[in-house]
This record gives sequence, structure tokens and C-alpha cells, in this order.
Amino acid sequence: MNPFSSGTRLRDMIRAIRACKTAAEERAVIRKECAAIRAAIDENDHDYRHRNLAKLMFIHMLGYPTHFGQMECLKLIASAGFPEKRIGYLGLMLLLDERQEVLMLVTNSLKQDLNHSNQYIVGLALCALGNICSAEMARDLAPEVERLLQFRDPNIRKKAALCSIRIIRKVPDLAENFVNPAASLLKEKHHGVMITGVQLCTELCKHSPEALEYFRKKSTEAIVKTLKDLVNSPYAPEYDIAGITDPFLHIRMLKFLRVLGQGDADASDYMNDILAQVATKTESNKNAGNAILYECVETIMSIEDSGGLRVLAINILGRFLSNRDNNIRYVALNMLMKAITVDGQAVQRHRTTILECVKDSDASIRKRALELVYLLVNESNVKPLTKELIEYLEVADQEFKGDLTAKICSIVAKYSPEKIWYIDQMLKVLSEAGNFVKDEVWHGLIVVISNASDLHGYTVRALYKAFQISNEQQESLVRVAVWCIGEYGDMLVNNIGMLDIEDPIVVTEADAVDIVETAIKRHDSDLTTKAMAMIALLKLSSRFPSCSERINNLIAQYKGSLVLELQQRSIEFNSIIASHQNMKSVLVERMPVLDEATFIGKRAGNIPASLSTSNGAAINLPNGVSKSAAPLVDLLDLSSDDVPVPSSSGSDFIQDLLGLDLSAAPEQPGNNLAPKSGTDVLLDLLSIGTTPPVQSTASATDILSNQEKSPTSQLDGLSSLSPLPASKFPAAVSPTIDLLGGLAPNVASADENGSVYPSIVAYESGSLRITFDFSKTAGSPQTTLIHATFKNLSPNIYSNFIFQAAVPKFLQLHLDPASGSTLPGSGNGSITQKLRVTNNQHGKKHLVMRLRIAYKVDDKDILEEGQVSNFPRNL
Amino acid sequence: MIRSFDALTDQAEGGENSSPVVLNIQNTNSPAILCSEFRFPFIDLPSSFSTMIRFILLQNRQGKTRLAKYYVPLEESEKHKVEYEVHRLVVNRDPKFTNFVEFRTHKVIYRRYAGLFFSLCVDITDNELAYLECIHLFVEILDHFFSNVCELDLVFNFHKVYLILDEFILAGELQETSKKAIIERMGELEKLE
Repeated sequence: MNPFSSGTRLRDMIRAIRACKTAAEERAVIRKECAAIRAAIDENDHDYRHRNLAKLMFIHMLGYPTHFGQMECLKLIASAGFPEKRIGYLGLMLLLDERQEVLMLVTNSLKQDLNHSNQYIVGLALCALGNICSAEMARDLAPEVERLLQFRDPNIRKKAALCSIRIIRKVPDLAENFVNPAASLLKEKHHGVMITGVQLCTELCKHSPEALEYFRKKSTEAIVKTLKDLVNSPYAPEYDIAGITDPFLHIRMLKFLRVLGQGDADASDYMNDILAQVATKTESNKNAGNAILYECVETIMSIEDSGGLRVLAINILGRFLSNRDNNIRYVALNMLMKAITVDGQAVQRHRTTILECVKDSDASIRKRALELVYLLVNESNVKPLTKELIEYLEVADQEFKGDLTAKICSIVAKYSPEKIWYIDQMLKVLSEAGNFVKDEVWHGLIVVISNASDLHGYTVRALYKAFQISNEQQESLVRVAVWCIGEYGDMLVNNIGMLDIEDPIVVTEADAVDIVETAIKRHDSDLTTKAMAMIALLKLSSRFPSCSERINNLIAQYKGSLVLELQQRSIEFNSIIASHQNMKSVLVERMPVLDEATFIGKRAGNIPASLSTSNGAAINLPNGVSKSAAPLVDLLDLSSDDVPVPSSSGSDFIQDLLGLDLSAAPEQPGNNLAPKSGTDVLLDLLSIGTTPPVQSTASATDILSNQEKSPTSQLDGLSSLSPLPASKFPAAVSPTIDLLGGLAPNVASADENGSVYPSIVAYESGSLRITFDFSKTAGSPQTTLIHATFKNLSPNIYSNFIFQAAVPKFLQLHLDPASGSTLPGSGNGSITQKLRVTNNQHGKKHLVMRLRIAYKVDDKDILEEGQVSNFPRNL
Repeated sequence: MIRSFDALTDQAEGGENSSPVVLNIQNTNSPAILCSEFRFPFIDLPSSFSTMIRFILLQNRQGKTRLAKYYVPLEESEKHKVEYEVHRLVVNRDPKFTNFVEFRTHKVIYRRYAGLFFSLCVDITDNELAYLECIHLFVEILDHFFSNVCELDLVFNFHKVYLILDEFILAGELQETSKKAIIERMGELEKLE
């Protein structure tokens, strides 16, 4: 019985669902249907199985879970009739994919169906295989598919060809088996078989160099001939699209020729004529024709050089570019991007048109065009191109401004012929789209300004003017302006360093302070801007003694600011002005010329690192270390706490610190990066200060666990960070353990007898000895109790004695409180402390521990560290 | 970024036994991975896969999916996300604009017929115009088969639409370019029901 024509239940269900007015109603209907289907599945109902599955597919399409129907697919596939199998395979393709285990069960049914006497059923199986084949299935069923490539019915041959593509994508090793049958497909006349055959051959060439060589030798000629026949073929209604016979076959063949011709001069030479013919003869008034031309151009660009053809190709692209259809222009831009590496001059000729495309209303075209323009820029055309782009920046869409600004800044920085031009262009960009300018870009600008000593006056005046006429807040313009006014305010007021091109302007000292005041008082200025303005004010107070009083008042207003940074600056600056007049002028001297080379180097070095911090696990530590690493950025930017510490040095440091051998890292593949964050944390923690024992490390890294007195609160947030790569520890341990290897048998037997372990001296320095005694509790061989005894061998008394221990990740450590914190001298007493260690990899890995002992002698803090690797084995 | 990248390679390595291809993908394309989002497996297929259609969607203006065929394995939740995002991308575009939208690291070629959007996701370097023609041919086949197709035909006969599609495209590649051949083949299959 047919579930769709006679039975109306599927239709009924769809109607019922469509009739639902609300999502809740729909859910109710679906819930009911699903319940009914589940019941039917439980009863193993044969008659309605395929109808139920059809319903499930519809339900699945609406986005409801239908996993309970997966087995029904398999049952339907295993049944005998075509209608059942058809629905079964459809369900298989929709409800399952190659990753599901269930799929393994279907391999056998597929094998049977591929050998079925009914070719329609073979077709179903091939279709399913082509769409969901996994690597295992590919290996199992490749021989069947290979055989079907020679099946008598063309419908099967073409399906088998596409199946083969899927198979060799999954298992490229199988490619060689398909080369011969694939080659014979190319001789076919049936279009469906031919197109699939060409696709299969193309795929084979990509996976196997031998296949490529084979097809180059044997098939280039044949394909060229077939394509020639196709191009010159008379009207064929069955394949005709817009007056062209089978454009799809054209395209696939051109693609194949591209693969054959790439890197082979002979083959390329052989196909020259036909490519020229396609390029000149194809009608370009319809999409189908253009699609062929487009493919042809790409092939011409990719195969070995033939000057004449390339000119032809670029001309086609030129025609495309002036087409009124946006789609055509889009593909032209796309292709010109590839052409630029082949023939840059030819592409340059279309510069004006491309520039027009940057201003298109369609975002897809704009984006392509902008990227192309970016590639087109060189020293000779940078000025006119930049001018155009900046002019367009004024009218560009908000969402496009970001991209555009970034590209302009990059072009200007890369190709600027002289500093004054660079500064001019950057000022324009800042005034137009200052909010889109990235931090490093305006940092770069400041570096350049600082280096161009003859342009200081000019720049500060230009910025002053730009600031005055800017009607909306452009954050980075304000920052650069404020910085320059702070540094070079005197030049602004006195018109120092006038260039010939400038008109003199009259700026009083009060005007200059006005500007900075506006910047700091503007409600939409952000913290960085305000803080920069604050520094500028301080500098101006020294440069303009007449305004000193006013500036002092301005700064004082922020003494009560709720923003800590501003408040702090305000108070500090205020006291500088009030009580350190004698050193003020030295303090606020002009900044020394910033070193361009360092900045550029840092920028280059920072790129990967900043990637990791900004997008990664967001380790925004209040990081003192990083600030000192980047003085420039620090001065300019308050938010510099995400300035990355060069991660390499970080890990070196930690490596030294812990005496780890990083070459052991591969032990934990895939984890190599995670520890880095832990490294940073630790690095940071250790830099906070060395005076108090850094107990707080424990919370961050889990390796030191005496938490009681530690000032952990500030670090609590870090505790979720991944711990140190603890598995590295054993590597460092191994030599010592080897020395003790002889002990192992005894220890093992002791373990069986109920645990007697030798005591060890865990740590001994000139002044301190730590001994460990071990015991096990019955029933938990993983857990070891350690009784630690500390003895002071020096004559002095140790106070504030604190013992810490760290263990790798596979161990868990618990420390009981120590018996005291004062250790009498000369071995006259001891402190004891109990440790409990649980070894999660008992029997596989041995105990290892790091120690850190902190104490006070004569009011001096002493810190000792050591590693214990002589634990008895099998603990 | 780094972390999630890590997680991804982990997965890939974990899945080594079950699917070596996935691993290849990771290896061949690692620079691309660093700069892409790689939330979805299909976006990092190596370039040799470039002729392949990644998925075909047929959605109405409200975003209801009428047909969804994926030629790359995706989780159910990812499929829904993809469908939602593609709909968002295409539904409000000006008809004068190009029929191509960049979608993550791929490209969606779409075409609107009345209230229905036909979208194909292909590699960024593939021939857009050819796929546009492809969509049109598919629509013509549907139109011919259902004689003047409308959305309701596709809703009630969704399984037939899939069947037609399977005769037209297989494994993400074009299988047959003749409308007549497909219609005839469908006639033969119908007879077997």
C-alpha cells in the first residue's frame, strides 16, 4: 500500500500542523503524533511503518527530535519492496548522518541492494551511499561501486560515478582503483554520465598525482575534442539553456581542463585553441553564457602562460565589470583578484571602475571591490586612490566604515611617500571615522608624529583645527589631538614651525586649554581619553603659566571622581602642581622621541599574542608585568592591561622557576596551549611580591594547597583557570627514580604485607631537614599518609615557619595544620605536619612533590624550595 | 580563540579512528583555521572539496524550512543555526543586489522565487553563476513536475521534492543536467509506488 496516494494520514497530519495557530498548539499535535508513532514502533507495526517514517521526516523538518525513528529506517531498508526501501533510504539520509554508529548496521543492507536485480533499488542504495557514506562504508563497499561504474543503465553509472567521488574523498587511498573505470566514462555520449565522469576524474586528479599524470596523457585530447563538439553542437532542446547546449557540462569540462593544464605546458598548449574559441564564441547576454565565460577565464588564468589568451580573459573581465548586472560585476571583481598576480598592469587599467564598485550599495560587491583596491595600491597610485577612498569614507554606510577605515589606514601606512602626507591622510581619517580607528593605528600615528620633529607645529595646529570643526565625537581624533596639544601646546600658540602651505592662525593659551577641557568634560569621552586629557592638562600647566591656576582647578574637580583612575591622577597631579613646583618642569618635559623601530617590531610581535588574549580565555589580569613591558602603549592607553606579555618569555620564566623540562610537553597532546594560561597566572602571581610566601598560588593552580592564611580573595577569580601541566613533573623525576629502581621489588612486597615503607629524607639544606614517614590505610591503596618532620639544623630560631607542597595533577594533596610555626634551633625540636596524598594513577605513576618552605630568621624572610623525587615506588 | 582551537583539534584527534578525513582537513588547512571561527566542521574542508555543494536550503519568507539537504555532516543544533542564519542573510536583501552572500567562510548562492528562497552553500572560490543556473534548473524541474509549483505542493509532497533533488544532485555534485531526463526518471519511479 502506498502511504501517500491512498492513505491520507500523512496529509492529514500536515494539515493539522498547518492549521495550528500557535506554537503551543503545534507542539501538542506533534507530541500526539510522536506518541502514536512510538506506540506503533513498539508494536512493530509493519503496515504503517513507512507512513510513520514519512511523518517523522516531516516532524524532523520542523525541528523536533526524531531520533527514536532511526531504527525504523534500517528496518524499512531491509524490507523487500521498493516503496518501503525508498522511504527507508530517504529517512536514512535525513535523520542520520555519517557519524552515527547506527549507520554501521546499514552497510550490509546497502551491499545487498547494490547487488540487487532491480536497478531502481540499486539506484536508491547508490544515492544513499553517495550522501552519507562514512570511511568504513567506503572501504567496505568500494568494490561494488566500482563494478557499477560499468553497469548497463546510464542512470546507475552516473550515480556510481558520484558515489565514487564521495568514496575517494573519504578514503583517498582507494583512488587508484577508480582510475580506469573513470577514464572509460569520459568516452560516453550520455550527458549525465559524461558530466559525472568528468567530475570523478577531476576529483581523482586532486587526490592522486598518478591519476593526474594518467589523465593528462590519455584524456586531454579526448576532453578537448568533446568540448569542441559541445561548443559547436547544434540546438539540443533537452540540454538547451539560453541557447547554449548544456552549460553545466561546459563548466565541468573547463574545470577539468584547468586541473590538467595547471603546471603542464604541453597540455596547456593543447587546450589553447578550444579555450580561445569558448572565450570568443560564447554568448554573454545571459547568465548561462557568462557562467561559462567566467569558468573559461579562470581556466585561462590557471594554466600555463599564453599571453594572448590572458589578454582575452582580462578583456572579458573588463566587460563583466561594466555589466549592469550586479552578479556579473561581483564575479568580475572576484576573478580580477586572481588575475592581479598574473597581470597586474592589465588589472590596473580597470582601476576607476573598480573604485566605483567600492561605492556600490551592495555589501557583497563593496567588500570584494575594497579588497581588490587594496591589492591594486602601489607607490605610484597611492595618492589618488587614497583620496578617493577617503572621500567615500564621508558617505559610506556605518557598517562599512570599519572595513574601509582599516584598509585606508593600512594603505596609508604602507605606501606613504612622505610623513606630512601620511599625517594629513590620517587626520582626515580620524576626523571622518575616528571611532573606527584601531588603537594600534593611532598609536602608530603618534609615534610618527613624535619622530617628525619639523612637523610638530604643523600637526598640532592641524589637529586643533580638525578638533574644532569636528561636529561629532571621534574618539581617536580627540585622543591624538589631546596628546599633541599636551606635548606641543607651545608650538600651537606661538605658531612655531610654520610651513609655507599653512595659514597662520591665532590661538591663545586659553583656547588650547579650552580644547582639552572640552575633551575631558565631554560626557561621551571614555576613560582613556579623559585620562589622556588629564595628562595634557598637567603638561600645559607648566607650558602656560598664565593658565596654571585654571588648570589646577580643572584637575582638582576630579579629586572626587568615582572613577578610580581619574581620581588618582587628579590627586597626584594636584599635589605635583601644589607642592613640587621645582621638579614640575622636568617632570612634564616633552616626551623623548618614540622609537619607531621598536613600535613596529612590537606591533608585529603582538599580533599573534593579542589574538590569544582578546579572543581566548580572557585572562585579563591586573597585570603589573605587562605594563612595564610596553611603556609606550602604557602611557597612551589605560586599558593596557590586556597588552600581552610575550608568551614565550613567560614560559621561559616559568620553566626556569620550576626547573621543568618543556620537552616533556608532548606527553599531553592538545593540552599544550591550555597550560600557557596557567603559566601566565603563575608568572603574574610570582611577580606580585616576594616578601610573603606566595601561598595564594594554590588557589590559582591547585598545586600548592595550604590555603588557610593566604590572601586569596584577590585571586579567587583565577581559580577556574587551568592548572599547570602537572603531567610534566614525572619527566623531571625519572632519573632519580631510576637510581632507586633497585628498591622497587622490596617495596612492592611490603605493600602486600600491609605497608611498611622506609622513611626518607625528603629535603635537606644546610639549615633544614625534612623527613617523611609513610603509612597506608587499609582498603585504600591509593592513599598515602605522610608524616613530615621538620628539623632546624642552624643555631637560630625560625619563626613564621610555613611549609607548602605541590603535586602534579594526578595526585591529590591534603595538608593538615602543622604542629607549630616556630622551629627551635640546633635540632632541638621539630615541627610535624601530616599530609595525605591520593594517587589517582596508582600503580602507573609514582609520587612526586615540590616543596616550598618559608620562615623568618632575625626578621629576614627566607624561602627555600625543593623537589622530592625519592619517594618509595608504588605509593 | 586559542583554547577553542585546541578543543577542536582534540576532537579531531579523538575522531581519528572513526574518520581520518576530518583529521586531514585539520592538517591541510591549519592556517585558515587560525583565522576563522571553525565552529562548524564543513567550513574547513580542504580546497579539493571546492566543487561540492555543502547544503541546499529551501525556505519561505518566514524562515520555515521546506527542504534542507546537507552534504556535509552537521549536528542537528548546528543545522538549525545554519538555517536561521542563512534565512536572516537572504531575506532582507535588496532584489537589485547580487545573489551571493558570504556566509562564514563559505558563500551562499540564493535565488528568490515568489516567497521561496532557494539557497546553495558552496566554496568561496566556486563558480557562482553556474550555481545560480543550477537553482533555476531545479526550480524548472519542480515547476514541470508539479505543473505550476507552489509552496503548498512542496509542503505536502516534501518526500517527492527530496526524490527529485536526489536525481538532480548527489553527494553535493551535479548528477543530471537534462530536465527531461529527470522528469522521465521520476515518472518511472512513481510507477513503482
